[in-house]
Amino acid sequence: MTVHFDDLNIGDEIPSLTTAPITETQLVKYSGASGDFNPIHTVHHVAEEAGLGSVISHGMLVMGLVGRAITDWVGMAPLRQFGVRFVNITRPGQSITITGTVVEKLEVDGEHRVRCEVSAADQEGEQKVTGSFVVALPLHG
Amino acid sequence: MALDKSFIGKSFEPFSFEVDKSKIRELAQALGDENAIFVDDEAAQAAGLPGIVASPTFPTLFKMWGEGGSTRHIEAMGGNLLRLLHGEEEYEYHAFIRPGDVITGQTTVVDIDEKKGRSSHLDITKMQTEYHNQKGELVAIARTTIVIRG
Repeated sequence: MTVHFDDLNIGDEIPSLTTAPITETQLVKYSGASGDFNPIHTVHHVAEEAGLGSVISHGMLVMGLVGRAITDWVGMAPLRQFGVRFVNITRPGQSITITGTVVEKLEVDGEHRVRCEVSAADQEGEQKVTGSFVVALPLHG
Repeated sequence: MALDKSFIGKSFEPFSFEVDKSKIRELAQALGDENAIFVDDEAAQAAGLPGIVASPTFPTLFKMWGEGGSTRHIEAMGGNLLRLLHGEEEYEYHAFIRPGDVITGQTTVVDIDEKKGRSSHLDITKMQTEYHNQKGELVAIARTTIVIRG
Protein backbone atom coordinates (compact mmCIF):
# COMPACT_ATOMS: atom_id res chain seq x y z
CA MET A 1 0.00 0.00 0.00
CA THR A 2 2.06 2.88 -1.33
CA VAL A 3 1.64 6.31 0.20
CA HIS A 4 1.61 9.00 -2.50
CA PHE A 5 2.87 12.55 -2.19
CA ASP A 6 -0.17 14.06 -3.89
CA ASP A 7 -2.59 12.35 -1.50
CA LEU A 8 -1.07 14.08 1.52
CA ASN A 9 -1.96 17.52 2.79
CA ILE A 10 -0.43 19.64 5.48
CA GLY A 11 -2.18 18.78 8.71
CA ASP A 12 -2.83 15.14 7.78
CA GLU A 13 -2.06 12.68 10.53
CA ILE A 14 0.14 9.64 10.02
CA PRO A 15 -1.23 6.31 11.34
CA SER A 16 -0.62 6.25 15.08
CA LEU A 17 1.07 3.33 16.83
CA THR A 18 0.60 2.25 20.44
CA THR A 19 3.17 -0.22 21.74
CA ALA A 20 2.82 -2.89 24.38
CA PRO A 21 4.05 -1.71 27.80
CA ILE A 22 7.86 -1.59 27.93
CA THR A 23 9.19 -4.41 30.11
CA GLU A 24 12.43 -4.80 32.05
CA THR A 25 13.17 -7.85 29.89
CA GLN A 26 12.83 -5.62 26.83
CA LEU A 27 15.45 -3.26 28.30
CA VAL A 28 17.80 -6.25 28.66
CA LYS A 29 17.10 -7.28 25.06
CA TYR A 30 17.60 -3.73 23.83
CA SER A 31 20.91 -3.47 25.71
CA GLY A 32 22.15 -6.64 24.01
CA ALA A 33 20.87 -5.61 20.59
CA SER A 34 22.16 -2.04 20.68
CA GLY A 35 25.37 -2.54 22.65
CA ASP A 36 24.36 0.12 25.19
CA PHE A 37 25.15 -1.57 28.50
CA ASN A 38 24.79 1.47 30.74
CA PRO A 39 23.58 -0.25 33.95
CA ILE A 40 20.97 2.43 34.71
CA HIS A 41 18.82 0.52 32.16
CA THR A 42 19.16 -2.95 33.65
CA VAL A 43 20.64 -2.99 37.17
CA HIS A 44 18.29 -1.73 39.87
CA HIS A 45 20.77 -0.77 42.57
CA VAL A 46 22.83 1.27 40.09
CA ALA A 47 19.70 3.07 38.88
CA GLU A 48 18.73 3.77 42.50
CA GLU A 49 22.19 5.05 43.37
CA ALA A 50 22.02 7.33 40.32
CA GLY A 51 18.89 8.88 41.82
CA LEU A 52 16.54 7.46 39.21
CA GLY A 53 14.45 5.36 41.59
CA SER A 54 14.59 2.30 39.36
CA VAL A 55 15.74 1.28 35.89
CA ILE A 56 14.81 3.55 33.00
CA SER A 57 14.51 2.94 29.28
CA HIS A 58 17.21 3.81 26.80
CA GLY A 59 16.15 6.99 25.01
CA MET A 60 17.21 5.32 21.78
CA LEU A 61 14.70 2.53 22.40
CA VAL A 62 11.92 5.12 22.36
CA MET A 63 13.41 6.66 19.19
CA GLY A 64 13.33 3.12 17.76
CA LEU A 65 9.62 2.88 18.57
CA VAL A 66 9.04 6.13 16.69
CA GLY A 67 11.02 4.58 13.83
CA ARG A 68 8.58 1.65 13.89
CA ALA A 69 5.68 4.04 13.34
CA ILE A 70 7.50 5.55 10.35
CA THR A 71 8.40 2.25 8.68
CA ASP A 72 4.95 0.78 9.43
CA TRP A 73 3.58 3.71 7.44
CA VAL A 74 5.94 4.03 4.45
CA GLY A 75 8.63 1.35 4.78
CA MET A 76 12.35 2.11 4.87
CA ALA A 77 13.09 3.20 1.29
CA PRO A 78 11.55 6.71 1.50
CA LEU A 79 13.25 7.78 4.73
CA ARG A 80 15.69 10.65 4.26
CA GLN A 81 15.97 12.24 7.70
CA PHE A 82 14.77 11.45 11.23
CA GLY A 83 15.60 13.35 14.39
CA VAL A 84 14.30 13.49 17.94
CA ARG A 85 14.76 15.42 21.14
CA PHE A 86 14.52 13.44 24.38
CA VAL A 87 12.26 15.32 26.78
CA ASN A 88 11.26 12.90 29.55
CA ILE A 89 12.39 9.59 31.02
CA THR A 90 10.55 6.42 29.96
CA ARG A 91 10.08 3.59 32.46
CA PRO A 92 9.04 -0.06 32.34
CA GLY A 93 5.25 -0.42 32.45
CA GLN A 94 4.67 2.55 30.21
CA SER A 95 3.17 1.96 26.79
CA ILE A 96 4.12 4.46 24.14
CA THR A 97 1.83 6.04 21.59
CA ILE A 98 3.42 7.63 18.55
CA THR A 99 1.52 10.26 16.60
CA GLY A 100 2.58 12.45 13.73
CA THR A 101 1.39 15.18 11.41
CA VAL A 102 2.43 16.32 7.94
CA VAL A 103 3.83 19.84 8.37
CA GLU A 104 5.58 20.58 5.08
CA LYS A 105 5.63 19.46 1.44
CA LEU A 106 8.78 20.20 -0.51
CA GLU A 107 10.81 19.33 -3.59
CA VAL A 108 14.48 18.55 -2.97
CA ASP A 109 16.98 16.90 -5.35
CA GLY A 110 14.16 16.13 -7.78
CA GLU A 111 12.21 14.29 -5.10
CA HIS A 112 8.81 15.03 -3.63
CA ARG A 113 9.24 15.01 0.09
CA VAL A 114 7.06 15.55 3.13
CA ARG A 115 8.23 16.58 6.56
CA CYS A 116 6.24 15.27 9.50
CA GLU A 117 6.42 16.21 13.13
CA VAL A 118 6.23 13.25 15.50
CA SER A 119 5.72 12.79 19.18
CA ALA A 120 5.82 9.82 21.52
CA ALA A 121 3.88 9.89 24.79
CA ASP A 122 2.98 7.41 27.52
CA GLN A 123 -0.53 6.34 28.53
CA GLU A 124 -0.79 9.40 30.82
CA GLY A 125 0.03 11.69 27.91
CA GLU A 126 3.51 12.64 29.13
CA GLN A 127 5.72 13.36 26.12
CA LYS A 128 8.90 11.28 25.90
CA VAL A 129 10.35 12.43 22.63
CA THR A 130 9.41 14.99 20.02
CA GLY A 131 10.93 15.19 16.60
CA SER A 132 10.49 15.16 12.89
CA PHE A 133 11.25 13.07 9.84
CA VAL A 134 11.36 13.53 6.08
CA VAL A 135 10.24 10.95 3.53
CA ALA A 136 10.44 11.04 -0.28
CA LEU A 137 7.22 9.79 -1.85
CA PRO A 138 6.04 8.94 -5.37
CA LEU A 139 3.39 10.82 -7.32
CA HIS A 140 0.34 9.13 -8.77
CA GLY A 141 0.70 7.98 -12.37
CA MET B 1 33.68 21.59 35.22
CA ALA B 2 33.42 22.96 31.72
CA LEU B 3 34.27 20.80 28.77
CA ASP B 4 37.53 21.37 26.92
CA LYS B 5 36.55 23.56 23.97
CA SER B 6 39.82 22.85 22.18
CA PHE B 7 38.07 19.66 20.98
CA ILE B 8 35.73 21.67 18.72
CA GLY B 9 36.46 20.68 15.11
CA LYS B 10 38.53 17.68 16.10
CA SER B 11 37.80 14.15 14.90
CA PHE B 12 38.25 10.95 16.85
CA GLU B 13 39.73 7.69 15.54
CA PRO B 14 37.71 5.95 12.82
CA PHE B 15 35.96 2.73 13.82
CA SER B 16 34.13 -0.04 12.01
CA PHE B 17 31.18 -2.39 12.38
CA GLU B 18 30.15 -5.37 10.27
CA VAL B 19 26.41 -5.62 9.67
CA ASP B 20 24.76 -9.03 9.75
CA LYS B 21 21.19 -10.24 9.52
CA SER B 22 21.07 -11.42 13.10
CA LYS B 23 21.87 -7.94 14.48
CA ILE B 24 19.23 -6.36 12.23
CA ARG B 25 16.69 -8.93 13.46
CA GLU B 26 17.78 -8.58 17.10
CA LEU B 27 17.20 -4.81 17.07
CA ALA B 28 13.79 -5.27 15.42
CA GLN B 29 12.82 -7.84 18.05
CA ALA B 30 13.96 -5.64 20.93
CA LEU B 31 11.73 -2.88 19.54
CA GLY B 32 8.78 -5.28 19.09
CA ASP B 33 8.97 -4.50 15.38
CA GLU B 34 7.33 -7.22 13.28
CA ASN B 35 7.89 -5.57 9.91
CA ALA B 36 9.16 -8.35 7.61
CA ILE B 37 11.51 -6.05 5.68
CA PHE B 38 13.97 -6.34 8.57
CA VAL B 39 13.98 -10.15 8.71
CA ASP B 40 12.90 -11.69 5.40
CA ASP B 41 14.67 -11.10 2.08
CA GLU B 42 11.66 -12.13 -0.02
CA ALA B 43 9.29 -9.86 1.89
CA ALA B 44 11.77 -7.00 1.60
CA GLN B 45 12.08 -7.54 -2.17
CA ALA B 46 8.29 -7.65 -2.48
CA ALA B 47 8.32 -4.22 -0.78
CA GLY B 48 10.68 -2.91 -3.46
CA LEU B 49 13.89 -3.18 -1.43
CA PRO B 50 17.06 -4.99 -2.55
CA GLY B 51 16.56 -7.41 0.37
CA ILE B 52 16.71 -7.09 4.15
CA VAL B 53 17.72 -3.58 5.22
CA ALA B 54 18.57 -2.09 8.60
CA SER B 55 15.86 -0.19 10.50
CA PRO B 56 15.98 3.59 11.11
CA THR B 57 17.87 3.60 14.41
CA PHE B 58 20.33 0.85 13.46
CA PRO B 59 23.26 3.31 13.22
CA THR B 60 23.18 3.44 17.04
CA LEU B 61 24.77 -0.03 16.90
CA PHE B 62 27.73 1.34 14.94
CA LYS B 63 28.30 3.89 17.66
CA MET B 64 27.76 1.59 20.65
CA TRP B 65 29.44 -1.61 19.41
CA GLY B 66 31.97 0.01 17.09
CA GLU B 67 32.95 3.12 18.99
CA GLY B 68 31.96 2.42 22.58
CA GLY B 69 29.37 5.20 22.60
CA SER B 70 29.56 8.96 22.98
CA THR B 71 30.46 8.66 26.63
CA ARG B 72 34.13 7.92 25.83
CA HIS B 73 34.43 11.21 24.00
CA ILE B 74 32.63 13.16 26.71
CA GLU B 75 35.00 11.66 29.26
CA ALA B 76 38.00 12.58 27.08
CA MET B 77 36.72 16.17 26.95
CA GLY B 78 36.44 16.32 30.74
CA GLY B 79 32.69 15.78 31.18
CA ASN B 80 31.17 14.09 34.23
CA LEU B 81 29.33 11.01 32.94
CA LEU B 82 27.06 10.89 35.98
CA ARG B 83 25.55 14.19 34.86
CA LEU B 84 25.19 13.24 31.19
CA LEU B 85 21.91 13.39 29.29
CA HIS B 86 21.29 12.34 25.71
CA GLY B 87 19.59 15.49 24.43
CA GLU B 88 18.97 14.85 20.75
CA GLU B 89 19.70 12.33 18.02
CA GLU B 90 19.28 12.82 14.30
CA TYR B 91 20.00 10.66 11.28
CA GLU B 92 20.34 11.53 7.62
CA TYR B 93 19.94 8.51 5.35
CA HIS B 94 21.90 8.33 2.10
CA ALA B 95 21.97 4.63 1.16
CA PHE B 96 20.55 1.36 2.49
CA ILE B 97 22.48 -0.39 5.24
CA ARG B 98 22.46 -4.08 4.38
CA PRO B 99 23.67 -7.40 5.75
CA GLY B 100 27.32 -7.91 4.81
CA ASP B 101 28.12 -4.20 4.85
CA VAL B 102 31.27 -3.17 6.65
CA ILE B 103 30.58 0.32 7.94
CA THR B 104 33.31 2.75 8.88
CA GLY B 105 32.45 5.73 11.07
CA GLN B 106 34.27 8.78 12.23
CA THR B 107 33.03 11.27 14.80
CA THR B 108 33.78 14.99 14.80
CA VAL B 109 33.04 17.47 17.58
CA VAL B 110 30.91 20.14 15.92
CA ASP B 111 30.33 22.44 18.87
CA ILE B 112 30.58 22.79 22.63
CA ASP B 113 28.29 25.43 24.03
CA GLU B 114 27.65 26.59 27.58
CA LYS B 115 24.30 27.71 28.88
CA LYS B 116 24.30 29.44 32.23
CA GLY B 117 21.15 30.01 34.18
CA ARG B 118 20.81 31.49 37.67
CA SER B 119 21.15 28.10 39.32
CA SER B 120 22.18 25.84 36.51
CA HIS B 121 25.03 25.32 34.12
CA LEU B 122 24.72 23.17 31.02
CA ASP B 123 27.46 22.06 28.66
CA ILE B 124 25.93 21.17 25.31
CA THR B 125 28.12 19.11 22.99
CA LYS B 126 27.16 18.45 19.38
CA MET B 127 28.94 15.64 17.58
CA GLN B 128 28.54 14.34 14.06
CA THR B 129 29.46 10.89 12.80
CA GLU B 130 29.68 10.04 9.10
CA TYR B 131 29.21 6.42 8.10
CA HIS B 132 30.54 4.93 4.85
CA ASN B 133 30.18 1.38 3.58
CA GLN B 134 32.91 -0.87 2.13
CA LYS B 135 32.32 0.66 -1.31
CA GLY B 136 33.09 4.10 0.06
CA GLU B 137 29.46 5.23 -0.25
CA LEU B 138 28.11 7.59 2.41
CA VAL B 139 25.24 5.64 4.01
CA ALA B 140 24.27 7.83 6.96
CA ILE B 141 25.18 10.86 9.02
CA ALA B 142 24.35 10.84 12.74
CA ARG B 143 24.15 14.00 14.82
CA THR B 144 24.18 13.62 18.57
CA THR B 145 23.59 16.27 21.22
CA ILE B 146 24.89 15.46 24.69
CA VAL B 147 24.03 17.66 27.66
CA ILE B 148 26.09 17.74 30.85
CA ARG B 149 24.31 19.27 33.81
CA GLY B 150 26.80 21.34 35.80
